[in-house]
Amino acid sequence: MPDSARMLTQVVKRFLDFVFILSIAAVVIWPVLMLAFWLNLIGGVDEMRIETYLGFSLAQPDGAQLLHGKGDLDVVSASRYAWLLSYGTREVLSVISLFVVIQLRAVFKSLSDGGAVTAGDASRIGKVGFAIVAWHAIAPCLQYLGGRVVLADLESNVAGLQLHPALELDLIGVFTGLAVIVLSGVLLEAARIREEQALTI
Amino acid sequence: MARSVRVNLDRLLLERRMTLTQLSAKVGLTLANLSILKTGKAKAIRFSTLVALCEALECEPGDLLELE
Repeated sequence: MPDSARMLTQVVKRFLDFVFILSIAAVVIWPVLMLAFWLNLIGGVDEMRIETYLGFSLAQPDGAQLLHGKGDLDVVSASRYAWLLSYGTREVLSVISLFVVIQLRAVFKSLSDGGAVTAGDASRIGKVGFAIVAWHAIAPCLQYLGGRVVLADLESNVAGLQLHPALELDLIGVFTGLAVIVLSGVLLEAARIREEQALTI
Repeated sequence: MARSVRVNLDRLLLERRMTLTQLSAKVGLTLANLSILKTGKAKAIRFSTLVALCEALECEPGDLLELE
């Protein structure tokens, strides 16, 4: 491996080590905070703003649409289910992130030790691909579900403002995950050929 | 059942009264590679290696390699 690539591998490995610690903290601390808020040990559920992905449209007094769009909105809601779903969603996505970081960390550790890509590394990269696809499949469903639960509790008192559940389906993200899965298959074959070459006398 | 190729290096070294180290020096292969051949872990052998081994052991390829 060229020196520049080796240095870059080391830098990425250290960055992944840092992200790993943050991810562990997020996965562990988040449920603890959720429980503390649920039990009103730290503030209360009623005081929480829930970040929810919603679609909105604002109409003029004559009924003509002024603006519309969708995005992450902070909503004040007393619904415990909405609160639980919102923060539970973050926990699910944090777990998926942690899984990806663990796989990538193992791959970069193997590379930074000076070795070539092994069959195990290729398998881990395949798992990252599946996680990317899972993320982009699960996140929109949770977004939509969260929006529905929040809106069921919300009373809009602004004339002309309409809110509706929304989701953002990132097809590029899905195809990126699929591409990573295909590439992992190529790397697996390369690792197999390399092993065969190493045992060719 | 899948058949495999056995490398009769042990038997030939014994018959020629040669050690693995001596063969390694004659053929130009490392002890590690010869050990891989001897223990049956090799996946393939190059023709150039086969020729060098046969010349060093004064034998035919069929004496060195056996289908089992």
